[in-house]
This record gives sequence, structure tokens and C-alpha cells, in this order.
Amino acid sequence: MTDQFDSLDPELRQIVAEARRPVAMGEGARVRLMQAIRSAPAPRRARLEWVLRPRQIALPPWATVALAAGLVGIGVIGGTLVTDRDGPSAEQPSAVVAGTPQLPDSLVPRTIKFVLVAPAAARVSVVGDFNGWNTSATPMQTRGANGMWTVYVPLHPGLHTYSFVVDGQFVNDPTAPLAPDDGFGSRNSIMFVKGSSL
Amino acid sequence: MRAALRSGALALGLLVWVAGGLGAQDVRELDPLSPLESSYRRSVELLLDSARLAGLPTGPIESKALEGISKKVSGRQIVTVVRDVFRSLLRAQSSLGLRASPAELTAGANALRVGITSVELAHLASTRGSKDLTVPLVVLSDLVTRGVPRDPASQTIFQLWQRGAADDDFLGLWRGVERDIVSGTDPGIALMNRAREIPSRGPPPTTPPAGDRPDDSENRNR
Repeated sequence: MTDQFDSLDPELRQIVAEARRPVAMGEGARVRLMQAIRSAPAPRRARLEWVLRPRQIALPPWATVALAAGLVGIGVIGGTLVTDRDGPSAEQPSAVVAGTPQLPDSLVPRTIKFVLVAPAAARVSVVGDFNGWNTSATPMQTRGANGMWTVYVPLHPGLHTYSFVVDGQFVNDPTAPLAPDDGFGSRNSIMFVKGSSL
Repeated sequence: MRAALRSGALALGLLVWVAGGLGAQDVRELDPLSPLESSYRRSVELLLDSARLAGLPTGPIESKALEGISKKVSGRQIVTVVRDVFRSLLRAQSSLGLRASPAELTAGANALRVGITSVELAHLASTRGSKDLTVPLVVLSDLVTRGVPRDPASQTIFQLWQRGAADDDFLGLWRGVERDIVSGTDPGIALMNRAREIPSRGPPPTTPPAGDRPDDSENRNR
């Protein structure tokens, strides 16, 4: 270190020597300095510093796949819960009607129970003008071994055309009036939902 | 290293596949006609616009297009059937009058499609008063669809309507006839027998004001 100092330019050495010279301070200066430091507010540490601090995580390939699948699964389940129209709430007709008392009758949906007996079926759903004929929108449930499939669907008053889909095949409702030939080679069923004042 | 690359590619492929599937589903929900080829889709949209301009309900037209998509029918056939639905609605409006509800128009269009004439529809509508024609028209269409001859079916429904039959009477008639047909009775005879069981409910409904009557010129042409 001394060698380095000695090798400096003379003018520079003089400046460094000046800078190193101790400064004479008064008797109470040290005490006042410490008091000032104590009274000054401590700098706040960012609360989220730890969370936000960038870090690298090394995962094995299988963990990456599992994480990706998990995130997609959470998204799908979340989306389904938010948009599901056939959940248990549909089984409470009074809630559906009571929730919109200010609407005219023609806009207040009525909860309709669809029933189909299909003991040999593996999958049954109902499609119609109320769900855009989407075969996966309104699946029906079965309990026990009696082959009775049911689902509750809120429908607005008016005429509705619908069909059941039993294992991929369109089947009309044997307990409802028939619509004319649908133009596509099969027949649908008709349901007339009355408003409360009709 | 190679195994890691293969796993990474698999994960990426899985993500793209799932995201693509979800994306397609979202698009279908936002734009249900999107599966149709553009030229057929344009035809359906033009028919929807025409229906709006004519004061017709667009629901049955869009529903028929979506039904065709769901049943995986060709775009050409979907447009043909949708156009037929549009024409039926237009004729039903002409027969039932401008104050007919969307449900009545849909039921009327169905009745026309099973062979009921515009004149018969107008005849029924001319005595409707404040009553709703939907259920009688639904039952009439169903009976003809199940094999009851058109003329007796139309006359029976009209007579019951004039005798003040209620919706429950028509639905009861339909259930009885349907049951008889299933058990082997001739459809026409089943209708006659079941119609006799329905009691008269009182005077026929009042005639609507002249301004609400259906377009006579259209009926004369049919």
C-alpha cells in the first residue's frame, strides 16, 4: 500500500495527505452527531422486497410439465365455476325469480326440470335455443341405477325448441309436443314456458 | 439433455393445445356462427338483418343455424333451412297480424311448415281476442306431425278454440291423442274421440279490432 502511495505523482500525494489529515472537532460534536443519527427516521425497507426480488428457480422438466398442467387446470376449473349455468343454484327456483322482481314477466326466467329415462346411456345432455345447441353446455345428471337423467334449466317465457343428446345421438323428448321436421333429418321437441301472468 | 428438451417440447405442446382449445371455445361462445364458412355465414346474417327490419323474432333463425352447426350439417343446407324458417315466419306474421308475439309467430311458422295454410292460420287469428294462440298452434303442428290428417286436425283445433278451450284443454287433447296413437289407434280417430271429451268453456273470444286483422291480400294468394 505504501509502495503505491509513494509511486503517485507528487502533487497528487499532497492532495491525498491533505485529505487524510484529521479534522479537529469540538468536544460535544461527537455526541451531537450521534443524537442526530438516533433522531433521524430509519429508512423504510420495502415490504415486498423479498417477494419481488428477482430470483432464478431451477426445475426439472417433469416439474415444469406438472406446474403448467396445474396452472391450466386451475384456470379451467375457475372458468367453469364462474360460467356454470347448471350448478346447484339452478335448483332453487324461488331465488331465480326473487332475484329480479322488477323485471317484466316476459324477462323473468322460470326454472324448468328436464327429465329423460335412458338406462343404457353413458352421457346425456339437453340442447336447444336456450344454450345455442351446445352439446356440452347443459349435461344431465343421473342418480342411482334407475336411468333417470335430470337437469334444471332457467328458461325465459316463450316457445323453446330443444332435444336431448344421448351418447352423441339427438333424441326428442317423448313427453313433449313435437316440432316439425327440423330440416336436418330429425325432429325436435317444443316447450312453451308461460310467464307468471300468462 | 435430450430428455429435458423432449419434456420441454412436450410441455409447450400441451400448453399450446390446451390454450388453443380454450381459445376456440371462447370464440364459439362470443361468436356462435363462427364455425360457418364466411359466405354461408354472410347469408345467415343477411337473413337475421332482414328479420329485424321486418319486425320478426331473430331467435328462431339464429337457433336454426346453431342447430345445424351442432348437428354438423353442411353450410349450404343450413342456409337453405334457415331461409325456409325466415319465409315461414314472414308468412306467419302476415297471417297472424303484427301484434302476434314471438312465440305465436314461431308456433305459426311451425304450423305452416307442417302444411297448415295461411288462410287457416288467419281464420284462427281472427277470433283470438286477447287470448294467446301459441299452445293451440303447437298442438296442431304436433298432431299433423304425428299423422293426424291436416284438415280434421285444423278443424278440430279451430272448433275447440271457438268453444273457448283453454291451454290445458289443448295439452290434455295432445296427451290423449299421443297415448292413443302409441297404443295403436288411428290418429284421425284418436283425435275425434279425444276432442269429444273436452267440454265447452263458454262463448268464443271476441273478434279483434279491424286494424289488428292479418293481411287479407296475402291470405287470398295462398
